[in-house]
Amino acid sequence: MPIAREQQIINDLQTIIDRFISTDDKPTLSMFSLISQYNATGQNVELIGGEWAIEHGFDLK
Amino acid sequence: MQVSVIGSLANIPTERKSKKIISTIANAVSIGANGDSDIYNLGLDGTETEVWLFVNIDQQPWSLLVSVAYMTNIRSATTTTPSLSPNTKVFTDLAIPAITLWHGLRISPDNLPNAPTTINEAKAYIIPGDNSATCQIKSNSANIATCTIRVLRIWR
Repeated sequence: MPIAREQQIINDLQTIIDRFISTDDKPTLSMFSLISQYNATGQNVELIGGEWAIEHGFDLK
Repeated sequence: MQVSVIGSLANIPTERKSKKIISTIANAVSIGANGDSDIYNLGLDGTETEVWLFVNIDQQPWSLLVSVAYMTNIRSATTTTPSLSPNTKVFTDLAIPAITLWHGLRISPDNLPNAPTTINEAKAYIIPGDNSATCQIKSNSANIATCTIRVLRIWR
């Protein structure tokens, strides 16, 4: 994957994290929720998942 | 020779401790539209009393296929109870996944007419697994599906 594309995905994931609002029901953002929201954008052409996110610095449970 | 009897073996207290290990074998993987996930090893060692699978997924319909215990290269939706195929519900809360017990039998009306329909019935049919047991998710959604699979291994 080109580095520019990697960075784009990283930016998109970070945007999702930055927009997350904690609630009593969902106090933290899970990796499942992060990737699910990224998939909902329709931009996940490469089908990256939780392991890719972890490898690129997103340490979510 | 003097022999002393210290006590009866029947009086030695014994305790069987239960144990559980839960492992994430697929962590928020993305499955293409109408596609299959990778094949995931369940991580068993064959000593487990029970093996449960927990599935979270955000698209439907979908199916979970798990190894036949005596022919692990074959995966089927009938090797678990309840069978998660096809499933038309989504499970997006990690605390409320789809839950199924792996018994390992490939069931058809021909080989087991009175197949287990409840988890309690299925427990009587459990065949021990081994380290070659695997699972896979098949998605029949037109959208990319996000999926997390966890395996709960129990020793009772």
